[in-house]
Amino acid sequence: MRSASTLYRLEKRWSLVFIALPVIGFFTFTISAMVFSFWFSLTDFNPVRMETRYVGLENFRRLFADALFRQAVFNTFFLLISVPIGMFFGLLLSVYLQQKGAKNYALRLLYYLPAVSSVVAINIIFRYLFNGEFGLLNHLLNIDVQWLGTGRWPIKFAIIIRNVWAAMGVAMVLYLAGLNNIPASYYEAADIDGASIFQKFFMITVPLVRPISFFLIVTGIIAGMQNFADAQLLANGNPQGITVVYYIWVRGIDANRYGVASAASILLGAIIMLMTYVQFRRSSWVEVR
Amino acid sequence: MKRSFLSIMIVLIGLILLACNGDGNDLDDQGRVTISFFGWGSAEEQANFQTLVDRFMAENDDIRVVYSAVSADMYMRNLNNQMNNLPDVFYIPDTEFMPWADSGRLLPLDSYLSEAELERVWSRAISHYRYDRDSFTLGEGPLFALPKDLGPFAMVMNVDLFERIVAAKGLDMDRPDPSVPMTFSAFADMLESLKCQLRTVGGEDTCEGGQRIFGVTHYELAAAIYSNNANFFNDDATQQTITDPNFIEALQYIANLHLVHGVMPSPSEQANLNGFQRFMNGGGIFSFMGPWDMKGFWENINFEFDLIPLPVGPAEGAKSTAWVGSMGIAVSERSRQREAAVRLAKYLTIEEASQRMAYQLGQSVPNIIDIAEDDFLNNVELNGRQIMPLNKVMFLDIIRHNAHIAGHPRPTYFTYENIWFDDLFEALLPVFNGQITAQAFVNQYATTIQRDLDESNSYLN
Amino acid sequence: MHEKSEKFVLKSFHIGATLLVLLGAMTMLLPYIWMALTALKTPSEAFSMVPTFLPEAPQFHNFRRVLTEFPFWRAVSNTMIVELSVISVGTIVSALAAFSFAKLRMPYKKTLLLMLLSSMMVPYATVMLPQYRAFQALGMVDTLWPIILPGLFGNAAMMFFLIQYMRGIPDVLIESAKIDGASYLGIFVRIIIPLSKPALAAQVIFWFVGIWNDYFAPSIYLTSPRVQTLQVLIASLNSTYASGTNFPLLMAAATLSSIPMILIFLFFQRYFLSTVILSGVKE
Repeated sequence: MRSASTLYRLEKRWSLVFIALPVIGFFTFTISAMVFSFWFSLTDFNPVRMETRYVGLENFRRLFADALFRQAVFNTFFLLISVPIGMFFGLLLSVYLQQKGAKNYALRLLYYLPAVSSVVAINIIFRYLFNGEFGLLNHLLNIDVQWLGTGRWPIKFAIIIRNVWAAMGVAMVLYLAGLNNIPASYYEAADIDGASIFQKFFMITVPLVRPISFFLIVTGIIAGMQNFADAQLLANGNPQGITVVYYIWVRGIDANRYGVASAASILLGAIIMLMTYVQFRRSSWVEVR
Repeated sequence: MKRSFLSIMIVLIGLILLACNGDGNDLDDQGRVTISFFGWGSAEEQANFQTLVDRFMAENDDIRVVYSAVSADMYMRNLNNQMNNLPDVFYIPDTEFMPWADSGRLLPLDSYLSEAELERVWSRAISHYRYDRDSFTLGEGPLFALPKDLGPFAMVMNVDLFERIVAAKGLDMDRPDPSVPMTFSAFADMLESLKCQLRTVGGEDTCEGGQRIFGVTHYELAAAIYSNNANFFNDDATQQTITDPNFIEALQYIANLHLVHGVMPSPSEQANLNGFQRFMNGGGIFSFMGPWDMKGFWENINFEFDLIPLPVGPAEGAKSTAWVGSMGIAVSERSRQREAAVRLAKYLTIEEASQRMAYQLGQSVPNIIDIAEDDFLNNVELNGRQIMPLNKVMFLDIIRHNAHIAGHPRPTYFTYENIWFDDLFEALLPVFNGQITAQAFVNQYATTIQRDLDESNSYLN
Repeated sequence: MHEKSEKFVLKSFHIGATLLVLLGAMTMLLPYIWMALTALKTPSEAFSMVPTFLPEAPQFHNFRRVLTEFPFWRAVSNTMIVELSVISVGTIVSALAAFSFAKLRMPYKKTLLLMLLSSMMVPYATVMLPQYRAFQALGMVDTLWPIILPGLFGNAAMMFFLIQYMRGIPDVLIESAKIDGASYLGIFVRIIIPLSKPALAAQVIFWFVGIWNDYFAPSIYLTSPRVQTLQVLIASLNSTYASGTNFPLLMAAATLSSIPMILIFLFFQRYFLSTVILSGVKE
């Protein structure tokens, strides 16, 4: 039998060995990449050219002067309103389904389906549904909206509709779990007090699912700020619908302007990291013991 | 349990290695040198090029060519990916030519070519790929690529649709002249009188209550600008010239086709179905086509199509001027098999076999002048729909220039970066939507485009 | 009287809600139905001014064309190579690290854990360009390596989830195994893994779906048909066919690519809809 201190030393050593690969991966794929991203943002690096020059903050100046970037930033933030809308519908759905009990399992499946569907296929089919001339949507509703056109708002609302459509189910499942934790006695007490269905919803349900709402809104915003496929496949690069990540892609990977794209990616990273930090701080989502 | 897991892992890792490793094809079997050739195109075009490459190998038994290709929209990214180990021979689109020639990654080809070889080819096609790396000047200096083709983007009409509408409306109208261009206003007037909601009732065409037919499916920006004796910038692309009245006039002409005359889809409608597809679907009478569209038009549509001269603007000295696209075939400066690589590049661009195949497959106008002016114009080895467009001399006139007709490279050929053009195109939408006049637009956009050009030119010093 | 009318209001409210939920369910299904129906149409039917609901003559050969004319099976096998390699190695790596964080004494544990979890905060777009350049320099672009390699080092989200789960495993089991002279790896294999099976299964299924539908990174790296995964193949068909040349063919490909995930979803539905995914959200 080994002594306690040997055992302890052994355990410390093995504990580090077991986490070695994730740590190596972290330094390789995250830390060093971020350092290089920062370096790119200070140079005029272009893979076609043989030499690279240091240009200071010129890329940031160009970035802020670029109308497309400003548009992408505005769009990215504007499109986030699909997050609370999707949550709201998800909550209503979960309240309805909870009252129906397990009977409506098929409905849960249906509403959750987009979460497991390919974002590529979904965007392609939605682009077709939203087509202003040949699309099913205008035809069914008997309206004439150029969803994919050059207007400032139609393409944004098309993206928002698609995102609400896709996000309702995830919110529904999470809220259902939350609702199951609310004791039935709360509602019974409210019934005795003669509370209306709306009062019960806003006074009991909404406050008690707040942790889930908070989780959903933060993860929704973080995911929304990284949206790429909607801009590329649904908006097809339409400047009224592109996001910051699309901007980084089109300027960096597509047009070889690594400097400007890296500058944008650093700003995006900073904003998202800040928001995630707030999330980590405010909720006990992560417990470190 | 443990052992089966281990064997699964071994199989897996083996699979990954197989999937990830290319075949090590640097082998020299039978004393042949191996060169790689990288291009783009549809499956059909790839099959055609494989045929051509096979023929080349049959004629040059000391060379083995490994040909690979990706779709056009993936091409530049794929080429960038191979930057550290470029293929020996590869396509370089003329819009990307300048940064590549400037970087020194392309092999200068002059020493491998004789005067006699070059004289047989359109001189514009050759000078297109000359670049002086010291003065940053296109059209001068060493030859850094050979032309795969010269592609005039001409105006095309749906002859059947035109005649059906003329008949349905009882108009007294001839087809547009095949060699003398119409003016901007005459063209717009003609399209207005051809407005039609085409419906067929009992075999009879009427122009009421049916599908809306557009006069022209879209309009190429450069085609209008160039045809009104204007340009986007001066000769060396350092100074913008969009404030030139001729430029403004041409811009407003395009906008008015939708806004005033109602004969062209709005920008939003163009997003629903692009002009080219609308033309293919029979939704428009006029559109634009390059020689590379011939094959698709032979096979995928069933109406008669033909070329007409692009409308010309009212400005003094204006000629009907189409943009002329081109694809270069370049040899990597680091190729270890330069001589073999150049031989393949020459075979694909300036030798008879490839140039005959190019037009017979409906891909391009031959680079060799004799073949273009004899075989191509006289439809040698072509039959059925392949003789279309009947007015194919229009393609040649745009390349050769004449009293009325001319051609000019795309604006993005002249600039180091192309972002300025994408940005301009997006910024123009309010003009085409009628929210702002062309005059007001250029006044407010002149500084932006100048800044964009300056940024592009900042690499050239 | 008053009570009766309130009941009536409540009842009609319920009926209205039911109708809305059913309408919503139709809306959820509609895109899928429209995709499948369009796959059976001719190109001109798909772009006719007045959309027709049912195809005039169902073009079943569209599906066969997808399977024969496009590298569809190649794309499926590429996707599966990524799935199997990343999930098998990545899960073991993540689970091992999770075990270490959850159950072992480790110097600087809190710092190390926060460090690894912070990688979840870094958006892919921020590290995309340097990673792309690095893989270019290594000559790995246009192979599956850039998609596989990062996954082999584990997945922070999965690790985090497993840590939460493994903390629920009683320490007594581990201590007694230690007394019996078991090695740490032995404890991991013989105690931790069997006890974490439900959590591992859920994570593996989620990851499987995630990799199947992953698009952004593969679309950057995989430009040759030879290496394309399914999503990249569909997207590249989209850029060729979306403008109308043969839209139904594209829809057929999209339909075929969606079917496996829908089946997996139906088969493992309890993992998706149960609350197991929730254990990370604490009140």
